Amino acid sequence: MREVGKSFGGLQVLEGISFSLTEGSITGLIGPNGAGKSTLVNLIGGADRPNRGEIYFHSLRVDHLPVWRIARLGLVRTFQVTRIFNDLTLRENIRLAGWTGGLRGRKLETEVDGIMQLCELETKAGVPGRDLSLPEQKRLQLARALALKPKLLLLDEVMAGLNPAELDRAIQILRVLRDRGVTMLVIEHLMRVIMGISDRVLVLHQGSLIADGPPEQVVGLSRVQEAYLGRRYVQNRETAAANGSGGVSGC
Amino acid sequence: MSKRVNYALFAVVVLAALLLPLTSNDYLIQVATGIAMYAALASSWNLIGGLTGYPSFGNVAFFGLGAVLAAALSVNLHWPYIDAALAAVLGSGLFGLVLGLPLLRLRGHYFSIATLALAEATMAVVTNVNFLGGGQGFSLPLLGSGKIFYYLMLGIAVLAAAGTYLIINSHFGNILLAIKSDELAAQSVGVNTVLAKSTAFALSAVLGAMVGVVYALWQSYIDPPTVFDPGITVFMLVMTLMGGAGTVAGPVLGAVIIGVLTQLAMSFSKNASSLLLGLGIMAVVLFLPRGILGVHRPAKGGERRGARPLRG
Ligand SMILES: Nc1ncnc2c1ncn2[C@@H]1O[C@H](COP(=O)(O)OP(=O)(O)OP(=O)(O)O)[C@@H](O)[C@H]1O
Ligand SMILES: [Mg+2]
Repeated sequence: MREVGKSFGGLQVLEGISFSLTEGSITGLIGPNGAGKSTLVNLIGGADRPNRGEIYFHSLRVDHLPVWRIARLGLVRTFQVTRIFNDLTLRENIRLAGWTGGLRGRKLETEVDGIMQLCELETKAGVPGRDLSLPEQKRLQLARALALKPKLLLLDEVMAGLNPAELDRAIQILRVLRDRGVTMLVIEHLMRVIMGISDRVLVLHQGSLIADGPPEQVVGLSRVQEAYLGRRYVQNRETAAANGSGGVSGC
Repeated sequence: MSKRVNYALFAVVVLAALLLPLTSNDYLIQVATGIAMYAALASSWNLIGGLTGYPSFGNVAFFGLGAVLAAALSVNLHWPYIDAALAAVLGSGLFGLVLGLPLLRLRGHYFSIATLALAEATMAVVTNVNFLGGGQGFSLPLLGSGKIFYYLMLGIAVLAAAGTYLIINSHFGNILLAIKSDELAAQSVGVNTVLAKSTAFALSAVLGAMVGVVYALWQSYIDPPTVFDPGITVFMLVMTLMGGAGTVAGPVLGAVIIGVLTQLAMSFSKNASSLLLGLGIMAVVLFLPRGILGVHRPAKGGERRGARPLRG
């Protein structure tokens, strides 16, 4: 994407955002609350339009396309606040995505079975969306996205609220996906997750990208620590470091 | 209920309905024709209002347009009525498809009010176009016995119910339910929601118009205030909600209950029927928010929230 900007009324939420993603890589997107991460996903997914700049998927400009066309290109997103189909069963939720993704007949059913197995949702196949627990809904969102055979997956806090065991499982799923060649942009507040899976990390702060690089390098940058923890903390730590004591261990 | 029980029930109801004219009671047949007519109309409303979650207040426009177009073509152009009827149904379906495109961009109350305005505007246009009968309306030749119209209305009602069943069990039905649940999420899994909604609206229009063309012939006289009466839309909506929106049998059940109750009330006094309708609406809203057939699921997250904004 090139020089993308977005404002709501007078509020400038994103400014001068430019980056491109390498195929088959996992990129972590972090930033404090309200930094504009979800807004960025909305712009890429077509749910919102940028005021400025251009967004390309391969060589195709997508920032004016309807949401459903973008999804069919293989540019698939999840929602921070889960959005599942309440009136459909879990299986139907996934099947619908597979169907619009172009699968038919036996192939469709086999694919849906495989995805439910991967996301450990088989036992809930017949449960209506409205009766699923929040962690189940989160996994269903991911499963539904997978049924579309995504080339680029935008994951907006799909792991928030999961317990450590569920978290490990989710991370494992993302690794499987990467091995299948799916490019991912992963938004997550949990540093443990971001550090564990990202090939590269982008840091968004007050609507601008303030850092971009390999995870270990990015968390070492003092401007990133400032954005996250406040200036005072970083100064204290630097004084402490000068005195020879330990460092920061994520957040 | 299992599928087999449902099929058996369906067969019994249809068989009973088919045998009803054996009674040769004209009054009974007339009432039953009205009920079949409303079962078909309510089923047509259910496609857009129940399955897709777009509460239309203007579906009478399709009924009225079907009646008026068929009458105009047969009276003014002397087309055989069957040709006129086919053209009227196709024309109304196209009308629904084309108007669905802009109208279905609106949501909730805005959609309801826009469709109400659409129906009123359609009536205004018809009233002012001589070819469409103007304010006078049309007289059509009296035709056959009441039994024919009963079977015709019954046929459309069965077609509507069977069609709804097929849709609910198809991918198209799942798409409509997905749109009802969360339209942005539906778009995000690649559903062309505009096309799907407009198709549902057009199907609803086709069924409404089919009822309209039969109604015109049945009554043998139609004028705009009668065939564009907003009260007809209200009946479709109340019957569907009472029986169970989004279900196959709900609109039919609602039509039967309200139809029978209205007749009973009418035998006491004319005004009692509208009072009953009012009480019926209140009872549904208060006690049966999901309708008689709407399975009550103790939803974990409370009742389904209203339509969510089209943003992440
Ligand atoms: N539709 C909207 N209208 C007005 N302001 C909005 C809208 N959507 C987001 N904002 C504002 O834009 C800013 C960025 O919001 P966004 O949701 O993108 O942040 P975020 O980085 O995803 O935060 P979080 O970590 O809490 O999810 C916030 O100040 C928010 O209030
Ligand atoms: Mg967010």
